[in-house]
Amino acid sequence: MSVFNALNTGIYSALSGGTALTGALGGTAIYYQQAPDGAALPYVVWNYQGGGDENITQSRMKNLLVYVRGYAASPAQAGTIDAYCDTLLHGKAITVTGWENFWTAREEDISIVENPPDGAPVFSAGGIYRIRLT
Amino acid sequence: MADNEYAGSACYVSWVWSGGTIALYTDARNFNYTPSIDFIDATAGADTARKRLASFKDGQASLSSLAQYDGTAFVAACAEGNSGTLTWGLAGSASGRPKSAMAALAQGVTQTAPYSDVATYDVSWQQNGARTDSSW
Repeated sequence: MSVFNALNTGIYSALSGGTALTGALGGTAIYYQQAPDGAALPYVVWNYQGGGDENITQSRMKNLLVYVRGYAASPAQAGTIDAYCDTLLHGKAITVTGWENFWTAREEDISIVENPPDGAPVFSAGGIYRIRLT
Repeated sequence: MADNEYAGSACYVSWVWSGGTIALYTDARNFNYTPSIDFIDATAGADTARKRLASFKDGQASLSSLAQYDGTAFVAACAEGNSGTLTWGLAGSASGRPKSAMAALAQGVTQTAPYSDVATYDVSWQQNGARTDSSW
């Protein structure tokens, strides 16, 4: 059973339920895979970096790596958004319909600056979270 | 020539004890059965090498499983000292597949909770009678 839709709903609910995060974003600018073209900074994006089925017992178990990061106009703002995401995800149980989330933990910290054609740098800060489901 | 290999994922294990029957392989990672035999020393006289006679057959089984938080059935069923019948089929329980069974004594559940991994149960059984090999 694919878990993308159910887990995406869970991740969005977990992040959008954080008032500190939505306050910093000025709303629920939280997107799967990529932000809409021309979306105003700041915003949050998540995607799957890898992982999949464990295949270690007859019961289905998923072990996924999800990259969650904030994009902002300054490194500090990106870091602040990342911290809010971390608070909402690390060690927390995400509600995933049809599955039980028994492990969510941040494993990698990633900070990147991008220079789009208009010349204004876009800073990102985030982490890769290991999410395990059964 | 047909190949009839199979993966361990096909395995079926059940434990019948005074409290009922429990299927054990659903969340298990590994099942192992090791037969053994005692020997009688038959070395004598001018023998220059050790000689043995086969004596009592014996065996031990063990199973490693992921712990489940929704009940205590596994721990209760496999508590140390429980006697019962352990039945298994490495190729599953479909008709015609190999099946083994034996009376056994459970030796209790070792419970492990590593911080960054799933909690596990490990249980072993001491064979307590003859093993019967047949088919489902």
